[in-house]
Amino acid sequence: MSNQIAMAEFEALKLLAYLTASADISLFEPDLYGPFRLIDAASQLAECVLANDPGERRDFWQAIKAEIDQKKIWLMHDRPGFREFLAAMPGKVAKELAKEYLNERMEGWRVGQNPISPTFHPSSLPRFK
Amino acid sequence: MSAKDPVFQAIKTRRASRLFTQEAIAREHLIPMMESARWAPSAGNRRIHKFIVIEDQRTIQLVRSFSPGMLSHPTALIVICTDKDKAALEGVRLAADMSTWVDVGAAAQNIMLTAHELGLGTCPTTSFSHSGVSQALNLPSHLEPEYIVQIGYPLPETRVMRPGVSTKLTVDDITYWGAFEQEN
Repeated sequence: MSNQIAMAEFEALKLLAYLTASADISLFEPDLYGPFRLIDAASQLAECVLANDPGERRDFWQAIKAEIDQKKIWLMHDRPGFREFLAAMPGKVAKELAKEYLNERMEGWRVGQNPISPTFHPSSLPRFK
Repeated sequence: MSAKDPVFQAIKTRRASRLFTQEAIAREHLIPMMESARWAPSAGNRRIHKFIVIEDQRTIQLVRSFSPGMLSHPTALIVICTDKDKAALEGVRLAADMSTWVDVGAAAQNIMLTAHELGLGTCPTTSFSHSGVSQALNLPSHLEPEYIVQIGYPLPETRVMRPGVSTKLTVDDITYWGAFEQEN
């Protein structure tokens, strides 16, 4: 069962400031800066989660934040590397998220309670050998 | 001028700093930065820019909240603003006259070089929401924030790059002597 974390409303307000400011400046900045702002926001989200005790998944959040903070500035020095980094990142998150969906630990999980799709069930996922 | 000339050395060794200590910057260090800004070139000697020096940490955090380009945590800021009233008095057409931004850049470079000479690190910021920063600083409508210089005592930075990636740019890469030559 995933941990419940309490995000302070002030932290949410700061993230809101960042996101709205990013949307504003994305109107005139180079196209690739938009993905940069999004991945930087992901780092800030990770920082917020880490500050609020993510429990057993702390290592994952720490690793994600560390990798983003290290590689995001490749935008300025290594554009192909920056694109590769962005392309690989969702796969790493998916690996962790899949544990939630496919793990028996999801106590109380029932069809109809899935916030993504009311008819979706993990058992319906194809299994690849 | 030799390669050992202090001005040339300052220009060559200045870098954008993205990691600062939390040590406060003494006012005595900020004053020479502003003096250097005052002595920066200004198109037609019109002097249409104003500089807001911010030392209060809560105000810095507030400005930072609306400045996605501010990746570090500086302990002082200098916000360079265009005074639109002064520009109107001087007959500057801001929408068409790019010299106003050239002047902003010249002042910013003077500030950053002076900071460097004082052992401080700086990082330029143009990626900020103008409405957000204006509101955060309670700026009057005739002041338009154009550029923010982040200032702090720099910490060593380790840049991790992929193997084989070079960021070196040479003088030859950008210079054409006498006339532009089309590259093949």
